[in-house]
Amino acid sequence: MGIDWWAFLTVAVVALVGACFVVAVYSFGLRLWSAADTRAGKYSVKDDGTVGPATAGFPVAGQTPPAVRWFRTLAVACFAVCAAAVLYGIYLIVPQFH
Amino acid sequence: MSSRVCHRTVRLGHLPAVDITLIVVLVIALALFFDFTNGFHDTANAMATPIATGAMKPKVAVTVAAVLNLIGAFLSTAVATSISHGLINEGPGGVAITPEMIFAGLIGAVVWNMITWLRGLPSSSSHALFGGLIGAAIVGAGFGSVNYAALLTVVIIPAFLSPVIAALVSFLSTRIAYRVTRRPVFPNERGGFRFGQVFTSSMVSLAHGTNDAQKTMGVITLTLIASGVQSSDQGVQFWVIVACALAIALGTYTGGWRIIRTLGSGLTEIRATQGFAAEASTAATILASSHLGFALSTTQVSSGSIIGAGLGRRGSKIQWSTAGKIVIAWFITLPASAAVGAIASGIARFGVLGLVVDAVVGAAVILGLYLWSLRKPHEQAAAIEVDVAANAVFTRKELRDMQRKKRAAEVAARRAELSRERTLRRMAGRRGGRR
Repeated sequence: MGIDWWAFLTVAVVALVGACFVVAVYSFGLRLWSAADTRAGKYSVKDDGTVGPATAGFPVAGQTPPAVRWFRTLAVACFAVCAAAVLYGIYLIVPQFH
Repeated sequence: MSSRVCHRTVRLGHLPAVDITLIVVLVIALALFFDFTNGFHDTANAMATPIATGAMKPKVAVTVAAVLNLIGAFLSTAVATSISHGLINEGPGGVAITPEMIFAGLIGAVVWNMITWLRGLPSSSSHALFGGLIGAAIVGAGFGSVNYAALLTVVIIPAFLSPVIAALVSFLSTRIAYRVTRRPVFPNERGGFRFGQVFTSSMVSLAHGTNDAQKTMGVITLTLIASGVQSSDQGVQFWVIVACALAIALGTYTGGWRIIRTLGSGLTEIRATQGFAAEASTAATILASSHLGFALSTTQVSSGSIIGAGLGRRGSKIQWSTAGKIVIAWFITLPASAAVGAIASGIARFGVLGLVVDAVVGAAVILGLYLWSLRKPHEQAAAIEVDVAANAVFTRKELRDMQRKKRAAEVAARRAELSRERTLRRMAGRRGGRR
């Protein structure tokens, strides 16, 4: 009787890599999005360290610095990667596709 | 199109032959009921965390799960004609399992599913089915009919490993999610995980539909073949697919709120980040295992993921007593449903009369359990209706409000008691003051 320990190990590693990858990319997307918000002057930091609504002085209200656009683009790219992962998952689930 | 599609010859308009015997009708009815219990038992696997974090409203969540289960049931093409995964040795002359044994096995599976649902314990419906069939086969065909090596590799070892793998994966991805989104000064966007949860839990639901409706289709098809209604080279008939898909979808829509409560808030308090990480891990583990040749139990994987997610967030507590109860339920599932299956199989040996007794007793037990569930509401979950679902799982805000209200009530009660003269006199008369 051969128990296929190798198969269990493979499943563990594949699941680990897959889940961590998707979660990490989605988290990066969220972080980039909030970083873009910050740079767009959506928040301001008060003297006591708490976050408040945007003020005129921080950092540049009213105009979008180029970094904001970059951050937004990267965030959208991260979400696109996650969407692709979801589509790949559906491809794996549906037997008609392969 | 690959050749796998050809396995299922869909025959529209091919109605079952007239000479359907009592046993075939009983098995089909019971198999569909098992499918129904399977649905409401396993809604929690996919939808407990999004309901707990408020990513989806309870009614929306169960509707989505039901629709995805329905779709999934129609998608599954590779039909599991060997429903027992080789657990039961099939004789050289074809199928050794008789419809009577399948019937007895189904009674065991359904009864055990009802009991675990009543206790709010997430246990594997597949293991209940395997257990019932094993018990029935041992009584019906002797101890030699069970393949114990297969039992070890298909049920016992995965039962140990799958929660551990899932918990590990989920622990690491929860850690990653929190680490990446950590922003001490600016607001983090962890609310965005709620949106992602909708997709990950839908994936789990779809995977569940493709796997689990198939088992019932396999049971019914096997019975039809064994009783000679259908030839063995035919695939699953169309009406069987429709009936199974509807049964599992209806069961999912009914929703096993007790189990949703256990998984959503009984094990640990789940936040959106953890919920996303847990569901992503569940989906990844299930997809990986089913594509590398063997299927882990969806229930065990998602319970493991939730524990892993609970371990991954600093400051979160896990109710180990609940976790212990769940683990015990996993290990009892197989022997318990085997015992019920064995008893039913023993009664079924007395011919038609035995079958009728089985059916009546089984129906009485199921009805009794259902009435019991109505009589003894599981804490706050008063009934198993969709409308009360909002009360079945508490969000964090509601929990906080409840605690605040409880504390206020306690203080008010104490104040009222102290204001009463009798209490004061008693306190004054007490020697030594307050201890």
